[in-house]
Amino acid sequence: MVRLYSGRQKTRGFTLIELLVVIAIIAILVALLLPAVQQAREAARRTQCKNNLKQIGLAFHNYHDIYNTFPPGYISPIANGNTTSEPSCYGWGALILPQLEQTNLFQSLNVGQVALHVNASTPAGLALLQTALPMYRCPSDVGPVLNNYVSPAPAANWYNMNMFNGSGAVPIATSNYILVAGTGVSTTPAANPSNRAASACGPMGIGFRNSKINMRDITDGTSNTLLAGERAWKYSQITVGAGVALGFSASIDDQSSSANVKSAAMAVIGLGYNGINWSANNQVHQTRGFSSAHTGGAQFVLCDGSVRLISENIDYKTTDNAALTDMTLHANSTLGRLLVREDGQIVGEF
Amino acid sequence: MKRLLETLSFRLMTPMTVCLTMLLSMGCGGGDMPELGDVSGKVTLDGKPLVGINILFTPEKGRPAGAVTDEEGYYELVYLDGYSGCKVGPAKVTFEWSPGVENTVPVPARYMNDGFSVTVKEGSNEMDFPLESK
Repeated sequence: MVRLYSGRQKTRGFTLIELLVVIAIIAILVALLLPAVQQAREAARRTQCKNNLKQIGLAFHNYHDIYNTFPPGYISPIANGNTTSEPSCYGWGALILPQLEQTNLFQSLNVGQVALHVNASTPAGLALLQTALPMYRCPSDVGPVLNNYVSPAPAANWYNMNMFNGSGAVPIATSNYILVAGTGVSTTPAANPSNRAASACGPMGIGFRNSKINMRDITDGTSNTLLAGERAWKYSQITVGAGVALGFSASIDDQSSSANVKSAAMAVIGLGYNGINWSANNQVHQTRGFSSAHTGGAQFVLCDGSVRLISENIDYKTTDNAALTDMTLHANSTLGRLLVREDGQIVGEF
Repeated sequence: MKRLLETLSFRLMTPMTVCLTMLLSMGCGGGDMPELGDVSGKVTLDGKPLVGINILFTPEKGRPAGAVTDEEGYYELVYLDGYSGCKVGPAKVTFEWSPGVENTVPVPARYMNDGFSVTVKEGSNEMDFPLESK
């Protein structure tokens, strides 16, 4: 009747096979988890990058509160089409420094009072321009602190991120964030805002030469218009050279030569080009477009301050068509409509 | 023996289910990559190969794919770095010279702007484009 202590009674316990199976399951779970740790690192960097863009968006809004306009894409003091050099073009990144808690740098550089290339010609000024700016860097990006990118052949020297300080070329701090100048592949409209309708698509974004875009000018709505996005130093195997935040030099303003103001301006602004992370052909001119070291697309801050990852598979059409005279025809794709601030079309899901 | 197997299968049911669920859920979420079809072929102008011209396939809705022709006028479309081909479906084919690459061969503007209309199918597509200067 009482068989509690019977020697034949099996006590509950694990057999060897059960134990082995459990260990095997744990091993599989660990193997699954280890790659996930690496993914978690990238996820953290992506979030940090999102935060940087968010700060830029907020800085733009604060700037708008003070001056009642978004900052210009870049400031060019010399008349358009001039063939003299334009060594000192401050970019939007220098103008919003006070809104990014960098008032000291802004005042030391004396932005707007002292020309950019004059700053670059003194050791003290150059040291300021070479200050690393982590709020303008994507943590996943592998580019150097100082941007010395010069595009190789067949477009040698079209994109030169160095500053010219009178005696030579000096690199200044790298930035991964560029302002949206518009859709299309042509750099001309961003450098020549009067070239608005006919052959080129016009500067239809937020930042271009001496731009003064007010919230009122964003008629598509701030939630439907991109403000700034990422450009990587290198994605996949293609080096595109990121950008610079504070400003750039152009050896000449003549728009048909290399290192001119319209290609040099791509250091601070960007175009839709052929799409995000374009890699199919023409590997030199990707420096015009948006790209990212993150997987699957590039992150953008919208004019309302929200940050989104835009997929590289997004609907896009290039608009380098001289026959298109109506501006809205250039915004003929989802990404195009997002890049353009006043196309008057419904963006839809993206 | 039968008893042992029964116990084993019962005890292992829960961890195995958990494991299977995790494995299955990890495989999902492949992103928004569309279906691609490989496209290659030759571009000629009046019978001679066109070297170094950009060929661009723009689908009705989606990301364009492109390539640049080699020394013999051949091209092989690239969608994204590491992904060859073009989105399956109707596409518009246009041509352009890279800025910086001199336009040594005059190609009529109708090919640059209007181009051709093609349909990309699954698998591999062979598409030749014999352009004519007249």
